[in-house]
Amino acid sequence: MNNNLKDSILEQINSGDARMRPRFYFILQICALALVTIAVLVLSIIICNFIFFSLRINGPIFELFPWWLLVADIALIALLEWLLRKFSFGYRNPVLYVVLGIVVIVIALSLFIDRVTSINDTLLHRADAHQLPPPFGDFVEGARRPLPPGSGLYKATIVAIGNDTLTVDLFGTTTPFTVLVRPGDHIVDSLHIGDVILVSGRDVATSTIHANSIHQLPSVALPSQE
Amino acid sequence: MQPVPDPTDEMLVARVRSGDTEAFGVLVERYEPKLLRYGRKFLSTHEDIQDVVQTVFINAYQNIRSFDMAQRFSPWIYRIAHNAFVNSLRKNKQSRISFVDFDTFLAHPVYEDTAVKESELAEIKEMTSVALEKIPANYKEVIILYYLEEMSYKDIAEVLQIPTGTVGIRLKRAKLALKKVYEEMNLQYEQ
Repeated sequence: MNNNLKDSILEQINSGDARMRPRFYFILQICALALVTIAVLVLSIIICNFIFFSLRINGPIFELFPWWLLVADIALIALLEWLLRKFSFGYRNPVLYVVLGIVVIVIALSLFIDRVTSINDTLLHRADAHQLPPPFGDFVEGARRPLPPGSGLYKATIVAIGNDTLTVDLFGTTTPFTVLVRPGDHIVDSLHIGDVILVSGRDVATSTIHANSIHQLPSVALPSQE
Repeated sequence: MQPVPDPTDEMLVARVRSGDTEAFGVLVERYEPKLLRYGRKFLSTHEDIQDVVQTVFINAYQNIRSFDMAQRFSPWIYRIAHNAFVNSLRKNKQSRISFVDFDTFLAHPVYEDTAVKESELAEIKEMTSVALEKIPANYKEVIILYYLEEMSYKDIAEVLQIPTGTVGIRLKRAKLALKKVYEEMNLQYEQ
């Protein structure tokens, strides 16, 4: 056995060059790690909630899906998995289980916030009324994705309902439009005057749209008139 | 008069925490030969190995208050040693240890057969030195810890901070990799 190594180590300890770190150092370390982990989890939930909100008010349209937010959220979930591996319950379980657990928690809480509470709708109303500070208000208003020009997508408010037609006020215009509903499309049965809808279709004539599909949207899908 | 049993590692840690530096000297005496032997599987120069082992003990002393007294000391210090040797390898750009550990993605069943281990032990020890250098680093680690340091799956999992099931699957793949190396080297490896 090499006494030199032992002697060298004990000399460093006895001279004070090597000191035991105090217990509160490790407690602080764990607290800091826990805080960062919670912050990343909360941010991930906020972004996921925003994605679900965007889907709800824009409809399930491929062109309107906020893909960049999904990429950001996936990156946050990967970061969260890496942080959780610093704790024993993180590295003792397979990565897939930890990631699935995170995804389930994030999705469940995000859906709860968007579908059960009215937080998102309230924030959007306040953003419309310019009651939120600029960067935050702009972010919330950004949930209403602009319709790509020439995409055949139209947001409108129903002003009259016929047998197979709807008279609507298209967002951004003052002229009433007529929407020709596909025969047999029973969505008309569930619509009411004042409802906001997303129409996918094509112009067949001036102020007339031949609808391929109609999705009902929440009232916040269009800016409030306060 | 009955001889006083040697204090356990964990008893010594408790004494170190209360200020008994001589108790830490005893821990150094116990683990220095093991860590030097472990280090020989990572680094080639004796001076480099000694430097890293000294760093390991100093780190262990500095962080001794973070040790969970409900756990065993051995995997804890091997974990510090493992990190130190891996960092040393990375600094020397000798490491083939991947940052992404695909073995930990899924769960794997745990089958640890101690009877098979005994019969394989002598044979593995005899033939591994040469062949170990030729297999991937993450396979080499589990072979060294299981057969040469004689650790259990649970302890290896704590050292490498991976699921226990992953230790088993990695060991199985490591043995297959070794077998392939032996075949290439025209050595006999009897299962």
